Amino acid sequence: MNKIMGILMLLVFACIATNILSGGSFVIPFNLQNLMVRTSLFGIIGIGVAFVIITGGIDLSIGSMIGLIGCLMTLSLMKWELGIGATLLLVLVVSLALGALHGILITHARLQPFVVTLCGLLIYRGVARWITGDSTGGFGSDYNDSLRLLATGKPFSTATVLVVIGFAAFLFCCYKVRQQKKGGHDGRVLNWIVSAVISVSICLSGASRFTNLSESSVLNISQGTSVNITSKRDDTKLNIPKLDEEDFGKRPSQFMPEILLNYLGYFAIPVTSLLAFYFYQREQKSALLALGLLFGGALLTIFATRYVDGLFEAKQNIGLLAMGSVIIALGLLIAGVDRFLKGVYRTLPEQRGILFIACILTVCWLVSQTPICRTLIPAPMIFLAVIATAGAIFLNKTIYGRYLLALGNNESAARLSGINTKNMIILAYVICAFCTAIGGILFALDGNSIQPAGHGNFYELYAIAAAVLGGCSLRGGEGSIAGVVIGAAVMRVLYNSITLLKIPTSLEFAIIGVVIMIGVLADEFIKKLNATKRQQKEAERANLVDH
Amino acid sequence: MSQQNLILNVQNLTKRFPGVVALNNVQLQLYEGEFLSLIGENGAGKSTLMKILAGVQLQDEGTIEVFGQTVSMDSVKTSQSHGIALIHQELNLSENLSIAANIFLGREPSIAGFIDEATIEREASRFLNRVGLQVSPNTLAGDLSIGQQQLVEIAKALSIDARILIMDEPTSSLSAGESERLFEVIAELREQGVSIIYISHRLGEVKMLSDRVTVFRDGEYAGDLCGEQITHDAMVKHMVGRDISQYYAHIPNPVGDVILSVSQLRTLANPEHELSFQVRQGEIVGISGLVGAGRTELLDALFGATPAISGTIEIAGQPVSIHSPQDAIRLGMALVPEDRKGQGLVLQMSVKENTSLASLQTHAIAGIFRDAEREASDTEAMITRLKTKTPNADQTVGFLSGGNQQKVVLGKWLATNPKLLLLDEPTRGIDIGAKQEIYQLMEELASQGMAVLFVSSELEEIIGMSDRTIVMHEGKITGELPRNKLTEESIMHLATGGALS
Repeated sequence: MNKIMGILMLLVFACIATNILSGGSFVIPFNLQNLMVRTSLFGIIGIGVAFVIITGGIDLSIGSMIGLIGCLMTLSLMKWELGIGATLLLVLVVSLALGALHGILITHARLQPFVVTLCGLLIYRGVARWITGDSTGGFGSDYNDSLRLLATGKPFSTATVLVVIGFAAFLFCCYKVRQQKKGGHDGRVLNWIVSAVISVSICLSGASRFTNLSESSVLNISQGTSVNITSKRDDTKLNIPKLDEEDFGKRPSQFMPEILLNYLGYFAIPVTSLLAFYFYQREQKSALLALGLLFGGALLTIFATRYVDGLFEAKQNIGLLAMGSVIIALGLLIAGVDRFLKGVYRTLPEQRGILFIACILTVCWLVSQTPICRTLIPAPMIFLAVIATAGAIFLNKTIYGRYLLALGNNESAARLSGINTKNMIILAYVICAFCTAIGGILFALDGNSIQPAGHGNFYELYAIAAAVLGGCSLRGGEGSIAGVVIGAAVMRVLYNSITLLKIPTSLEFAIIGVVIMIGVLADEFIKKLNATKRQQKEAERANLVDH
Repeated sequence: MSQQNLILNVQNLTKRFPGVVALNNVQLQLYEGEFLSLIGENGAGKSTLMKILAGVQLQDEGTIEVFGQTVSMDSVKTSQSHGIALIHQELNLSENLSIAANIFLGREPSIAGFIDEATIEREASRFLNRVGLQVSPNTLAGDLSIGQQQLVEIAKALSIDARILIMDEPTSSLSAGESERLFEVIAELREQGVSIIYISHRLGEVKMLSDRVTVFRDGEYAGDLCGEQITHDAMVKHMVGRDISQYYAHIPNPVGDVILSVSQLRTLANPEHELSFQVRQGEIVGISGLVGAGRTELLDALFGATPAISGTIEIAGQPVSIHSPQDAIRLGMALVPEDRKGQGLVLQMSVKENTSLASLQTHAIAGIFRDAEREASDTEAMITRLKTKTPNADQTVGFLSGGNQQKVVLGKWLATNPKLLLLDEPTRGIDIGAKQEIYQLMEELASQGMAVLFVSSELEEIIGMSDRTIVMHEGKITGELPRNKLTEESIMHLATGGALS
């Protein structure tokens, strides 16, 4: 968890900075939807290459394989007319076979991964250009309502996700309340009850957004041709009530403090609730007082921002109200800062669980109060979610995941422990090829214009960069799936910010290169700090035990 | 004894690490031409003191006088300029460079910016002569044996005009013959006026070589032993602060059925020799021989790490084929390899992750999911059973001491319930306390009917622990000695190629 904290902060920082600098055009649904599609696609291939990197290998052939997959798909669908099922099967079989071939060449023929996949990079690109006769292909509009929806569909909105998260959190909190009561930890029951209340509020605020979404969101599933039109339709059809987030986000004259105040207002409730947890932990009486106070203030804010909007002429007033509650919160924070800090540092694992849930809920709450909530979730995001979840379970919960990590760190120790290291390495390349296949199919469907010479160029490097940003060590034996996904998101947000901030596109590679370098350097720095601290501590403990 | 001039005088030296006092008010004296041994259990502070002397770390308190001059050892350069050279336990040669290049690494004499190869070669061969190494200075360091590499390290130390040579466990990876050679070189150096500080766990060597022995215990100075006082028992007593009367506690068990029967086995390393022998249940069989005699290769072949070329292996009377460690593990075998850090453990992983590594498959839920509870409980059981000193099961193995690391490796294999335990140098680089515990464990396992086959270069260990010893020489089994015929002479006779009389 700690490992991905740094990159997560970088992502949050990049998002907020881009949004503020672009005057709020980052959070408009059109932009976010596009961003999510790109993040998902690169995240998927990033996860694939992460497995290879964990074994200490590398896969340079991803981009060319994506090109080959794209070409195969256009040929198979448009020229050979094999049908959707056969086409997908063909692509999967070819990719998995190539992945297995990489693995076999690396383990049994003992070639270096770099060399094998470099040859792959050249060969697949050449084959792709040859089989298509170097002519650009596409799917026309034939599959717009069927196959292409895999990449272009937008099945549900963020609001739905919030409702689901809120509901899940509510159930979890109820379970925890019961568990704590059974265990006799009456003191902690309240925390979970508060969490449950917040969960419900998220559920409700998410649900309230459903009314804001016209049927267009449902129709959208079959409207993938031009995202631009879709977003326009969104704007016109949405009957925006109460708060004009869309409006305030887009207004160019908007200047920063106002936006900030608005966001701070959104933060007020969750932040104050969080504080309340801690005061309650420390000093029950004043905590109850604070709790009442904060909730009073917070409720006033939400009431003001959401329902009494008409009373206040402009946003400044809402900002003022928000600022007021923030000031209350800050005052309490300062008064209890010492206690608060101590509380954070000394929290029991149980309380850390609450903190974690509260953080997630806070983010959800924040999201529910912004235009982000009106964003539709693109279909590739679902692929990413499924692959990332499966990947994380595989890596962390199965014996094979452990084997991969072990052999990445010390292959001969793993082999002598009875692990079939060769098969495991082949498996890693097959997993990588599988992710590349899924990514490649989606890339092809999303783009709908496949140039055999250029489709997928450099993608392997983006995937590797995402993995490295996400904490994978090229030495092997280290990596987390969540980190890779966040790494991919950081890359795409950077790309996006270059467009939004009207930075000359000729600079894009340079900027991304520099930022990745800074990210990795910062990561190494943090790791080193942590490692020396931990080493000292552990050596100390080990020494103490030794004597 | 040649004790004339005090050339190194360390007084009241204290070194603290966060939360730990590594050295507490220790002293050390070294006279010109003297052979001083520094002994103590792991964690006694020997290495810390040596690092301070070599300028790698600075002391917190106390003084160091070299040739009568108080020196602040603030860098390795300072230390070297005062004639002190440290030879690390792990050799630091670049294997892809020649001997000459290694000796002058970082200090290459040059002509107009180009390396002066001729001078380097001439000077290098001069130093190689001094250490008695008869190879061309252009040989790649990687092509030398460990013993020869050690001599190159010494030559390197001489090339910086070292007057005080500190050697940290120089013989830990040398064969008996190579050790002999090293001792001769050391004797010659002493005649040339070089003083030696020698750190070793091998008390036999210490006794044989030392003029004086300084003992550290738990970061404190525990006393000096001179001349006649240097006996095995006295040293152990100073080191552990108590008598260890029963160093080796082996009581032969009644042996059971033949569990392992090897006939006409040919290993990849020594394909010209066929190896045949048997091991019975409850038996502890030692494999002795010089380094390079093919002992490790034999264990590797049995375990499938480097599968044998031909021959038959029978487990409990059944002929089996072992092509990989998985096969061997399935047949109830376990191998504790010689190279603990390189092959035994995944150093970056925790005690728990290492302990469970070999048994994950057996306990997997639905064949693929890790049984996290079982993993935790097995690890706890092993930590308790082996008395592993670790703060918790999530401790990174790399931070444990050698003895505790070895216990983690043993724990990993005991978790698989093996019938035949193969141990390769199980007590190398381990302090006396942990050694004793490992001997007790071997004893206990054998009494429960497990067969133990162990390779050791320490003759005392072979003689003390084995029911029967197989002696190898240059890839061939030259003889088997029953317990009552085990003596250093009889083993060395066979190990050097002599025939069984």
